[in-house]
Amino acid sequence: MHTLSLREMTQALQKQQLSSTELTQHFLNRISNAKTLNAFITIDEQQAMAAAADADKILIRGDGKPLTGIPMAHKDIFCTQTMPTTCGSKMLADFHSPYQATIVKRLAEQGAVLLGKTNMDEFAMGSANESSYFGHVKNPWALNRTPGGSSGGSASAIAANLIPYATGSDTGGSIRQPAAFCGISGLKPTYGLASRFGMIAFASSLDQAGPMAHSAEDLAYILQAMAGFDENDSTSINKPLPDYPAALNKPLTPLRIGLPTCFFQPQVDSNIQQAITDAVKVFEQAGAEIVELNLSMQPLWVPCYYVIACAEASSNLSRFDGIRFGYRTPHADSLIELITRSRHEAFGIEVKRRILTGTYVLSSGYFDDYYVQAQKVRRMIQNELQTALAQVDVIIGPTTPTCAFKLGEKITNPTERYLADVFTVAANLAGLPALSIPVGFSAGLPIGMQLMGAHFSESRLLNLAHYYQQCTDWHQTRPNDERGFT
Amino acid sequence: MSTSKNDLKKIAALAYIEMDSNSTNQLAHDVGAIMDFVEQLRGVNTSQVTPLLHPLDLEQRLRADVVNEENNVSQLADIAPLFADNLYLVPKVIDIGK
Repeated sequence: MHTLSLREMTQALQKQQLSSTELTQHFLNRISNAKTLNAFITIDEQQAMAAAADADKILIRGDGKPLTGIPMAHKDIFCTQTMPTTCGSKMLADFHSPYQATIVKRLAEQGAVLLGKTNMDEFAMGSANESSYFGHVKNPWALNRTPGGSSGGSASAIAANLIPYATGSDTGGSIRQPAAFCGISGLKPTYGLASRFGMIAFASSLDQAGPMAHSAEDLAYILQAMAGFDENDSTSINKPLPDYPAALNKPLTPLRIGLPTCFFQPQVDSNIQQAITDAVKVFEQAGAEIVELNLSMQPLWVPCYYVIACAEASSNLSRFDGIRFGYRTPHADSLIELITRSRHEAFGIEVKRRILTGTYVLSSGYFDDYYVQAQKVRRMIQNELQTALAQVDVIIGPTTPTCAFKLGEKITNPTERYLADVFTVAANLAGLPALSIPVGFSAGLPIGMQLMGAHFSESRLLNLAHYYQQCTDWHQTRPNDERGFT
Repeated sequence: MSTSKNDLKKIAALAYIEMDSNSTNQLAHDVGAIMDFVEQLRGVNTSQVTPLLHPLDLEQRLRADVVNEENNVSQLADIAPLFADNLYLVPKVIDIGK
């Protein structure tokens, strides 16, 4: 049951060969046998079974839509009214949102059955899912390794077949990097395509919500339900949505693929380089033309990203003051002490590191040299990528320079950790859509390939990824349950 | 670029984060390392470049200045750590002295 695609599940549910109640119970059983992964912060079986029963009534009436009755989970960054929303932090450990995120509402209206909220790096800050207040998440392909971050719980749960799909958020690679590490598919849409209302803010000029699942076809169905204009999000773009599932099988060619030389450097695992080269050949054999690209701004992607992300994080996280909501210290005699101590006691080390760095680059004397300079460099990075994307339909390369690293590895050196995002941050800086799909293994660990396109080219990216997944079966390869996580 | 403990304490005060002796040492080191890492940005010639503020170069959309929500004080009170008589409670701010 758990190996069906979302399209197959929808068909089986609509033909009543399967009920949502059966499907939901099946996935809840799998979750309860896989607690060692620590992929979830909250699971609500009672609520899930009630939602499944409601979905079954809709399906019996013949009013089911795509995704109606299919179990899923939200990353715990999306506000839900019926479950706590922690954002992986002690600061929000007991927070019950008074409103729900637009994406939560849209998927609920589609008849999605919410099983729970997935674990994540605290406030989405991290690449290993080790900064969560609720403990680290394990990678189902190797339990001593990270699932990636910050959407590590969503990626781990999908890879282990505990849920068929989940939501994620991506500020610098937080959907694509864990998708690559766990051997699943994940899409960061164009900035402004998916509503962020009710998605707890990290860096507002970079954050974007997106879907995570096994295949490009699955992503197309989820994106169709998630995306679209929302008047509650001032960055939301008001334009008609294409039919993403219908675009999956459009003709592949003419197709020009850009391969940046900087993506094939010695520090990139040689097995990853080989897997990308082999994957590109699948398109070449179908008639694609390959164009070598020189992206000279690439060494500045990560430094530029960290200045902007930290600056915006320091501003966004100033709302957590111990007064209006969230954690409040019991030990304070003055207002200032109340705020500073609450923040000290409830924020983890990575969050403090980024707030302090952000405050530094925004402070008097450094603002122009670092923050404004980073915004100018960001313009240069975007210009270079747009020039490249005027020549090619898609830029292809590895999602990450290595496969999933060991839990605890590189933890002492924050800047080394930041380089895990070396290929993913560009899409956020330029607001471009990008997706990651599995393209092979290195020493038993999944390899992800990134496809990045022009603004609003999601249909084309999904079309290419779907073509590749029709020719290969990496996306259907699952970790062995016998390894002990179920 | 090294970040001294004093620099860090100033920044921490601006960021409203209390520092203890353990975290000050570690965070001064970490923030210094991050600032070293991003230092290379300053060497880029950007004299002719306009800062990029929005990835699609759009302006923030504004809504009409009309009330579109109902009074939700009770919901906000429910999630506040200390709340009474429609007020958030905080330690005494003004000391009138003797």
